[in-house]
Amino acid sequence: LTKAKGMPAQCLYVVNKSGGLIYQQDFDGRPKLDSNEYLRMASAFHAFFVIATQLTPTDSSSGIQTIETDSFRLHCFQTPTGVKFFLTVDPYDTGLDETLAEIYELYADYALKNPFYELEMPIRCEKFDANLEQLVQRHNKKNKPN
Amino acid sequence: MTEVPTGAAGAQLQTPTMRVSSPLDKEIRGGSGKGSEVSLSAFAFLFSELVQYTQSKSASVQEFQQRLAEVGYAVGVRMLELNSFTGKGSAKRELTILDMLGFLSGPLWRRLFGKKADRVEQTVESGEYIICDDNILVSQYISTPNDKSGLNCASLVAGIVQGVLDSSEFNATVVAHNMQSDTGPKASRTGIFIRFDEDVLARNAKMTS
Repeated sequence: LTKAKGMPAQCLYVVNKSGGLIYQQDFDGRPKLDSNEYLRMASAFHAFFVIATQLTPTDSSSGIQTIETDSFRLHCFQTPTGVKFFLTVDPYDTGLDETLAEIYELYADYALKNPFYELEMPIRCEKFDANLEQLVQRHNKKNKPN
Repeated sequence: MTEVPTGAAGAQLQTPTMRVSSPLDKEIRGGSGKGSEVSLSAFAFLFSELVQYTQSKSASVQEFQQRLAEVGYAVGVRMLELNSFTGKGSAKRELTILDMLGFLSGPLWRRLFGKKADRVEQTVESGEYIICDDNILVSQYISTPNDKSGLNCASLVAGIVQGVLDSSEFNATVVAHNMQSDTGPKASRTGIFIRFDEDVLARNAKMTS
């Protein structure tokens, strides 16, 4: 699997309140998997999330924020309405919180203000895709590997 | 000693030289400045709901565009009145087609959307005039799905333009169409196509000759 250089951002998954995948996008040119695979992965993330809120030693937990491994890092941003944005990136990448907040802003703009978008349904908005691609490119430029 | 009668708000009735302040005496907030601005997000959500409502009431794309244009028409009529009352250089009435188009794409567009329209074009064959906006404000956050590509939410703006034109005695048919954009799917390049009635064109020809 040859990866494009200088592209720390890997994939974005957006999961709705009930755990269903509503958006998935790859940013590093990896081969696309079967759509059922993505659905399964998203449901798995969501399940970990719910379990984590129960397992916490403190009274309340907002769920998983980061999962770190040798080959990648996964960041999660949960909105007050229960929508979760997961972004997988290379381990050296930084500034994820800001980027995830900006992705949330794009969702609020180009999905929620779109009269043709139904809540909790898969996001199929051209402007969301186009703006997201631009945002990730900006992020990649900011976080070039040394 | 006579009792001084009190006004509706319980205020003392003043002598004839002093006016009681009421909402009708206040300045209409117009032109530029904080009072005339509205949150874009608030408008976007309201417009999104309006589009969904119109869609539920319409059986076809034609009907949808017409209903949305009717909403815009009412806005256009009132906008012209408001502009005549408070706009800059507002005392002037436009008499020729070119002046009218200049007014539409300049002061009116700025009043509605905060900026001038990008271009005004004229098609050679059909005698239509087109006001182009590279990223029209009302559709800024809207991505129409491919199966509904005939549907244009900028029909609201077409209605506004038609309202203004009809009230200024420039009867025309106004439609909004998507135009090819070289910036990709990020911006909705829209053209407001204006076809003036025959008598308007004849009158204009007489005036400008």
